[in-house]
Amino acid sequence: MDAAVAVPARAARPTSPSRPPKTIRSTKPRGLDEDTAAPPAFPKGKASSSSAAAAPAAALLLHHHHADVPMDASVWAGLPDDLLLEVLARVPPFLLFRLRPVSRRWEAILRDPAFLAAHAAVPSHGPCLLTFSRGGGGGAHSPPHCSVLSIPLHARYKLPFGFLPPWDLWLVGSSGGLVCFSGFDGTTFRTVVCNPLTQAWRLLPDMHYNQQRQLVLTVDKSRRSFKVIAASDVYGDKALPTEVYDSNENKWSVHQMMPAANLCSSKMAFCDSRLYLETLSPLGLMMYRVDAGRWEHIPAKFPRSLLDGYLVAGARTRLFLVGRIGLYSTLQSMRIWELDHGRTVWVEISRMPPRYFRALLRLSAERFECFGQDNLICFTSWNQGKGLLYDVDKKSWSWIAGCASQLCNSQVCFYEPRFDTSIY
Amino acid sequence: MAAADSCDGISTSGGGWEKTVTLVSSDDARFEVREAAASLSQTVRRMIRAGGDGGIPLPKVDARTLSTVLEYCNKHAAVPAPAPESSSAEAAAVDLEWFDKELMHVDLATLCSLIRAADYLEVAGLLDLTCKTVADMIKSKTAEEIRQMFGIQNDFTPEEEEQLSRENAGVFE
Repeated sequence: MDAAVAVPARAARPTSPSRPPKTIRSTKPRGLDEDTAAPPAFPKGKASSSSAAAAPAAALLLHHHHADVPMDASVWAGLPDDLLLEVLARVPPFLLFRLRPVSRRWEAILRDPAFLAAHAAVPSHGPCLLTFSRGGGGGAHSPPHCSVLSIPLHARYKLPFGFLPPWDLWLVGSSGGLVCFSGFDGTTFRTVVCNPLTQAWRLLPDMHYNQQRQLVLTVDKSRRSFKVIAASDVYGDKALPTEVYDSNENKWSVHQMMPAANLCSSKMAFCDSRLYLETLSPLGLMMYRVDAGRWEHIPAKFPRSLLDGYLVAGARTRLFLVGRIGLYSTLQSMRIWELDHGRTVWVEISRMPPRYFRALLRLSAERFECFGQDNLICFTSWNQGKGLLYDVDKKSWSWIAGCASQLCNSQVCFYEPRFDTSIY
Repeated sequence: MAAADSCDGISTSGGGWEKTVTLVSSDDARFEVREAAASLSQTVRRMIRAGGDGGIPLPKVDARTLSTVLEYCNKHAAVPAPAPESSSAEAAAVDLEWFDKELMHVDLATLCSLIRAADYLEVAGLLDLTCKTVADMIKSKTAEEIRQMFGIQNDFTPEEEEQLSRENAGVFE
């Protein structure tokens, strides 16, 4: 075997070239950087050794080293458009706007429909939190504004909001890159669905019973459509027939009225084309099947000593119940249960560690908010500038800064930035 | 068996000697690779099926780039199908992640040749990895910094540039 091959020594020598490759002028052989560029604090012998532990450390230290070396223009210019497009499709969506002024070529690629296709094909950016502030009440009236906190990038971006009509809007929720708002235009109740990245939006027609109602937005990528489901009215004291809006037909259809039920809360969770609500009588859950247009009762008993609880939708069919449990205010804990659909029982899957619980809710009577998406559950509480995130799959807890619920005028939901979701 | 004896680097973990193929780079370097690894390249896989002897010619990839591509293929082909939730699968995934990170510790020109090679050879995982690496370099930079980094000429007129920055003002800051 030839020692001059440009394969690092640590790798099991897999290849056997019959002669060493020529040295190439403008680029250093791989592996050389690790030896020469390691900071002095790093023992040279160790860095260049093939020890498995040293190799990752060296890679970490040097991770950004290469990025600042300017390159020969011809190499990059030689990269065909379809490959440059593959690269740009992997830049986080919020940062693409600053790439347009780089050159005419980049601008043209970013406007190309093929770019949307490539963007759709790469794994999504990861979860973001969208915060919507209705603007200052009282004297100084500031316009409503929206911002997005990218959890993978640990950065917050302003979302332009001026493209929507200046109505008194509330955030309904988000699904598959689209965001739904509802509110009053001065006289009637309005529902708007938009993609904040492309600034495309659609005003939905009036519902048959057009008033302020609990809404849920859901995007169906395979059908290239979205639905908005309207359950009871927003205070839950008026029985209205359930209505479903289908973007393919651009109209609302009226379905069964929810059977008489005494709801615990008007908060809903939507997963696997089913809408869930907590009820006290009959005890358990009310479930609405969107495809069948029918309500059913699920007699799942709530856990004992449950003080308050939120239904949170997880990935696919998973449904979680998140709530506080305890007899006395000093002996409370926050727990997460998952519905066992087969046995219709709640099964405890996690508890919030006490130190997080104390930091989130400093007073026992404090209210908290909880919402989720794809097995991520976010907790916020009154007057907290930060949110607490629980990853159901990784079983990990972490704080997220700037997840503001400190203003009663702001609302937060999970949001997945996607250029390719059109408003159909 | 004589040929097999001389190939000390070839893994036998699969039971018995694994089949190898010979790949020939644009500058005539010959690489003997396990077929399982070489088959991560859809281009090579098709050529293996088509048959032929004297090695598979890859006239668009030089030896230096090809050796990196093969390093990637060997590592990724060696990883067994992950049994989810098992600790060894998790460890293997972490190891692979470190391996990928270190493999991508190269300059931009090399990355650029790797992107082209991964595209030509149709190694989907490597294409994704290399494009992602360049995207990560780009993402925190301003337009001017990107032009410098890639040696790109700003071909906009000052008026057009003004127009673009006005359109983008206040967006995603």
